[in-house]
Amino acid sequence: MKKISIFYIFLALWSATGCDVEGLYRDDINVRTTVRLETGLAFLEGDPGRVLFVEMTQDGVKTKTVFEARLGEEIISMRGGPVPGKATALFIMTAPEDPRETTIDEALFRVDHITGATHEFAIGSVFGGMSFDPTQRYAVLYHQDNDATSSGGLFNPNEVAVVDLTGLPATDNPRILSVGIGGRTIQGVHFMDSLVVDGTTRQIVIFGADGVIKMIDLIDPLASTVSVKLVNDDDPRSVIPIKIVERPGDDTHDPMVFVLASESQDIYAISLVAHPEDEDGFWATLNQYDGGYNPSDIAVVEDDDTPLIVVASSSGSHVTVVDVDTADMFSITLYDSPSRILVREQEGAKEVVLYGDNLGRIYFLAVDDLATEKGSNLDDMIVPDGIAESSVLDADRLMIIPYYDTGLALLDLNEREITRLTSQSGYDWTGATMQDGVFFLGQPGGDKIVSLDMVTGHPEPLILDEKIQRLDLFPQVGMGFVLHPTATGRGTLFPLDLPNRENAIIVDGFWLEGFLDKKEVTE
Amino acid sequence: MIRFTIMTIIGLAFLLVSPGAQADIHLEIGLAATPTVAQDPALEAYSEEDLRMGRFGADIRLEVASFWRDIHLLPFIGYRFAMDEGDPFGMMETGLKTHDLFGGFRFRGWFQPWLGFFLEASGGLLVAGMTGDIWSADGIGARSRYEDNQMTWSAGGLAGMELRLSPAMLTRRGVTKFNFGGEIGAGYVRRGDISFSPELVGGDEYSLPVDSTADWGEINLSGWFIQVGLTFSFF
Repeated sequence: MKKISIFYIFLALWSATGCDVEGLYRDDINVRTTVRLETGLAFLEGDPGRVLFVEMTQDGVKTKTVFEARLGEEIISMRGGPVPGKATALFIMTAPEDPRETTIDEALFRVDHITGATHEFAIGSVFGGMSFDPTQRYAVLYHQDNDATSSGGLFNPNEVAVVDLTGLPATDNPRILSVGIGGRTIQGVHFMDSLVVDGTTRQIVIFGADGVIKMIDLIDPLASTVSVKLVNDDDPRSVIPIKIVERPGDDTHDPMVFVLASESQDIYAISLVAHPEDEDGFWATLNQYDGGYNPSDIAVVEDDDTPLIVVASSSGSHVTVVDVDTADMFSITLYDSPSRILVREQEGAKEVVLYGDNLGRIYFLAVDDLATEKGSNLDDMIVPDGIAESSVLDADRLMIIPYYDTGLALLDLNEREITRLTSQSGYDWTGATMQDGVFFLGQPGGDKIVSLDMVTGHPEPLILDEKIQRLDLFPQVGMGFVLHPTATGRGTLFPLDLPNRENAIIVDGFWLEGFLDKKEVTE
Repeated sequence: MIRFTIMTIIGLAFLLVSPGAQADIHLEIGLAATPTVAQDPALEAYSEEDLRMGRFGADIRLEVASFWRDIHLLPFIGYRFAMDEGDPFGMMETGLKTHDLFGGFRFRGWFQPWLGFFLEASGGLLVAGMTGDIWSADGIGARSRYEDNQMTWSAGGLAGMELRLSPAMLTRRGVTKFNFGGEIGAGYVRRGDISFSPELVGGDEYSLPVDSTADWGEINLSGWFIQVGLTFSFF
């Protein structure tokens, strides 16, 4: 009897102690966002979130956790910046995990992925939109439509935060502003190059909303703001700026910005001038030009001293040219309707390239003497098998997906020559990129990387062991990286100058690095 | 560890040449279940539900001496095997197999001819082998399995009670060369850290070379255990 009792006591103790588990590794790896930085990929994973940076080197990869949400905090979003495509820092927006949490405030963290240096900027709200100015000095945070649901009830859609990225967090950095566009939601942020207005250099950002724009000088955002109404309040159209270009000023004219807006045939020309009452800041005067039927893209060019606005149309077989000084306009008839404009240098002279989707030709319009020739200097190029889609691959090339073929055409804009790639099956060519004269395509779901040296014309397939989730090129380190869907965190690394199987290697286990050492309870 | 092993060997040698006055030299074979509760939560990576390691194995003991109030000394060697399976992050099926090879000595005393107690100390090696079969590795040449084997030291102690058939009863029935009993005890085993940095295997001869895999980190399989066993004694 005694020995049976002892046996049961041990069994009970054993059962009680052995069942106590903490669930350390129960949750799946849930990658919410992947951001490409200059030298690697950053992954935002899980809830409340951590950020893993996988740095590419010529010898392999290095992984490290560069950011983790604090207790009571959750990561809302992550972006790379401030240079699109060449991001050197991560911008991570955080908020309290629970509305009742009082020790955590909404914040924007700037994380240097190399040094790990982190700066926390108090932003006071969760902003859905974020843009960087071209000088890389400022980041502007603004609200989008769906921010209202995360605002906790009281919501000002006109609130913005301007972060000076060259400065440290302070009471005046970021600056929280209300841009005053009558409660409209900001639909876009457009940064201008530095403009000299009445002798003062201004770094102007333009907030676009339905029927109105708000211009703010980032250098002095509290004093220098100007609103411009594009249409009357009772106008039923939804006139939202979709493209804004600038014309720098000089001794003969004031700087100008030109606004192309949705549902409007007009091109809005806004001159930036000195304040009429000699107050601080600047002023704006509005003029409007007829942009022709259904304008879809604009560009400003200078024909000698004559400023011209070139307006493409997505549904009229013409391109419209407007003289900014005289408001004279003329149209050049085309065979079809190129909807987009690329302004580039061709043999030392400016050239307008008109391209788009569902076309038969690409058009070239020389800027020199455009105002006088009025279209006689138009040239075009027929693309065999037509153009289903076209896009800018790099400064010298257009990528054209043929209308009647499954292949691809690459148009060399300098030579005006087309290189054809044929394929037995259709590819999603939109993921293609060009790097140092080599064309790369890695289609998600596919199992090979296709590279084409544009000089030799030699295609080189890199057959992979696993499917492609995404392809990223890192010219800074001379490597390309294919992320595979394998849950352990796996990819194929290859040199950009020798993108073949002989030089490719597998790297594996981003998500498993040191996981046995992380013994804290995660749920 | 080295010092401990040397002292153990010297002690055993001394005892072997100095048998006690009432030494009842005989051989014992023990079969034991030694489930262990690991203290390191990292074992969850290899165990779906708990931190238990169900170890099973056998000991060979030799009673060589008796001294002071009929305390018996039994040097022994032993082996334990354990196997666990887990699915960390829902991404793979992991397996962990451990092999304990150890030696030590047991002190035993009998309260009654059929009931006694024992204390035991041991030291040895732990060989741990892990695998991980990745569910999502998809492709002709995809490598889908992790493998790694590591070894570390172990040292432990055990205390418990023993039962056996009454020698007097067996003698009355003419059995003098054999006895049978059981034991139950509890103890602790301390083990060194194991660092797993598994190799990625699988695929075929055309698979791309693997440049690097992750260092998973360290796991320590030290923990408390209970032992339930059967003892077969041969005189």
